[in-house]
Amino acid sequence: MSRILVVDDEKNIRLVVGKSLEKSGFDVHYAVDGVEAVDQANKCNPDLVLLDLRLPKMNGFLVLEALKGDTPTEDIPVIILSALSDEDDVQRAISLGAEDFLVKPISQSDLLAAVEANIRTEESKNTKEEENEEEENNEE
Amino acid sequence: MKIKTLKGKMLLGFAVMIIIIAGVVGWSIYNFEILSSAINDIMVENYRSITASDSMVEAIERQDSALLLLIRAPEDRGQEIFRRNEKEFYTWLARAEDNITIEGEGEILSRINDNYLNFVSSFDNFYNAPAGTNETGERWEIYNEELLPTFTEIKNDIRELREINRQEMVNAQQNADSRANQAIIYTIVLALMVIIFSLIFAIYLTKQILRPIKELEKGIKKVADRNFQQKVEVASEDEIGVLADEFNEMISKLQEYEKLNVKKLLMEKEKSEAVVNNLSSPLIVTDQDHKIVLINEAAKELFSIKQDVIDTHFLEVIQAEEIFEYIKNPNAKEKNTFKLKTNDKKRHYRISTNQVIDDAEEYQFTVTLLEDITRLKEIDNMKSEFVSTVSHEFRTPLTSMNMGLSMVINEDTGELNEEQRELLEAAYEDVERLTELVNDLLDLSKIESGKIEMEFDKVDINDIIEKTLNPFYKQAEEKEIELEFKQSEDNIFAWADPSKISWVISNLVGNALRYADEGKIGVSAEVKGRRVLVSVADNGPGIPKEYQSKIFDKFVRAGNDKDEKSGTGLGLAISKEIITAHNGRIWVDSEEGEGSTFSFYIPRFGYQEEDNE
Repeated sequence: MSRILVVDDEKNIRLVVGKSLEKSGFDVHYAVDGVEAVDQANKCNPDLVLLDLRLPKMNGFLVLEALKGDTPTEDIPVIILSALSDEDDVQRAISLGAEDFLVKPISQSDLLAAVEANIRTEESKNTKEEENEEEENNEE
Repeated sequence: MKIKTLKGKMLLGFAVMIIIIAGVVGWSIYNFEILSSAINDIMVENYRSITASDSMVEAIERQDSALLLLIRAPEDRGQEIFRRNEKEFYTWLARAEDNITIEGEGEILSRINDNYLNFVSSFDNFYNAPAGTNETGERWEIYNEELLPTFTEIKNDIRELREINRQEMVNAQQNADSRANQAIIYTIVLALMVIIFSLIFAIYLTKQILRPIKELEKGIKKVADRNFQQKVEVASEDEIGVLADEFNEMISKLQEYEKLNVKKLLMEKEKSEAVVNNLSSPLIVTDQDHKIVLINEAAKELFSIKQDVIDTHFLEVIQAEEIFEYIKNPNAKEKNTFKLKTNDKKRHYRISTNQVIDDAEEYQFTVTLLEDITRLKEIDNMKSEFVSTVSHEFRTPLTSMNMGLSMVINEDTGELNEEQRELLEAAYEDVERLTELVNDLLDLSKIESGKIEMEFDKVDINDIIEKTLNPFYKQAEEKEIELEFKQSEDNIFAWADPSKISWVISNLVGNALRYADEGKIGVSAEVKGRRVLVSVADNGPGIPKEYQSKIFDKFVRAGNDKDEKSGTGLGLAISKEIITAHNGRIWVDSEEGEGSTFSFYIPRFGYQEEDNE
């Protein structure tokens, strides 16, 4: 069972996103701030991180930087799920290594599609990029 | 006596001349008179004396003849002749004696008288003596011894008398000659003097008359030069003096008027200066040569100008090429805001330049007003910031609402009955609308604050339209609306950001689809000179006139908008921002009940202005 770490300070987001993912058969873990996110990522070694950018204690960019800059976590795909949608923010996140950038609000189907596309599986570890392209095409 | 009028002066002048001329004439007449009378008197008297002398000679000669007659015959006739001529002689002698005019004449006459008395008394002796024959006899002797010498003596005396009178006449003539010459000389001298005097007098009089006129002339010249200070000083009291007085009166009136005018002008000037100076916005007025004509305090402060800069070239005073560009070509650029750093504070200004055209339609001044819009910019930024923040804050709760609702509706959490589903779907629909609104708001605030950068490129507008219309065909078909793209020519290249233009077209077509229930939507693109024109025409309900100018504002919807069809009310506002950022224009032509045509133009490729980048 794939493990997903949902990082968001908003309780309701954690609830709906978590529920939605659980219904789709994922093992969902949670973190409420940046520090906890890095902590959890190291502890539970998720196959995907859904990361909010505006977080207490340590913002999403710093979390992303920490995850991608640390060997044990650098391979974990990170999907940003944020209310921020400025070009600058997107660019920054992508350049820091984020796999995808989802802007809130997002529909359940779009979220699941992005998760499916990016989640780390045994097979996808090597052919991730090709799959990405296929999934994107399927989205429309 | 003082003569006051010009007429009087002239008459006086003429009177003096006439008197002088009359004097000269009188004097000449007097001279002639004296001359002629002198000649007359002397001539007449001398002539009388000569006549008397001649007559006396004649008488005494006749007596002599009578004596000779009596020598031979003692006739009474001889005595009678003698006596008659004696009488005659006395008569002429008496006349001569009455007419003694010359010195010595009296003596001669008394000698003649004495001799004649002797002659007459000798005659008595002679007559008493008896007559003889030829050269004998007593009478002969007496005649020879007494009468003849006396006769000769008398005759000589008379001749002398005649001679002196004749001499006197010659003298008198010479005298008259010299007098006449003298008179001629005197007359000439006098006439010359009179001529000179008249000339001097005439010049003096003319001057006297002309001097005030000259003064007046000077005064008029001064007035013509707008010098109202000096009055004309004409002392005379004649007509010119009166004229000068009237003139001075006029000058003082003019002066008053001028003062009043100047006062008024000064007041107006002060007023406008006060207005200009109290204007908190910097204001600079420049002339055709870009020299500063007027600059207010605010402008001086802004550019730290301390000295007097009037009549100095704009760039010499203010080293701001950017502003100068606007002054040189007013209305040339649409973007007219710029930043200025003053006292380490960045301020934003909106520049507006206005050409002042005079009555002759000639350009005279350029009024440049700098409006401090820093505060507006701040407020605008704050507003954008606020909208952005609020929108972001909406997004998170919208996410949980959206996902939560969709999970329930998808029955991930158990089955729903019809009623529950209907209600939840209504809620879901509104969440979607809210999401759309928030996204539009964010887009708009981004465009407005310039956060979204246009990525201009050479694009084929036909391609963009085709791609944009693709997703709409199905939608149109469902509503039984004919959606048609009329391609006028191949490859219409525009200078645009393809995704933004696509967004605008999609918004316009979306609107048309939303409002039309049936009929036709026509999209067209064509080249219009330097521009590319895109139109989206529908035959929907149309837009009432009063809304046509407002629909591009935020949150404005046409009055016939029906609730279920309402969009966010931001689509057209965003479209306008996008088109404006392209240096284009978007507008609507619509007739209520007939449909609407939304059109916009953007620069054609190759004709974009350089500052579009």
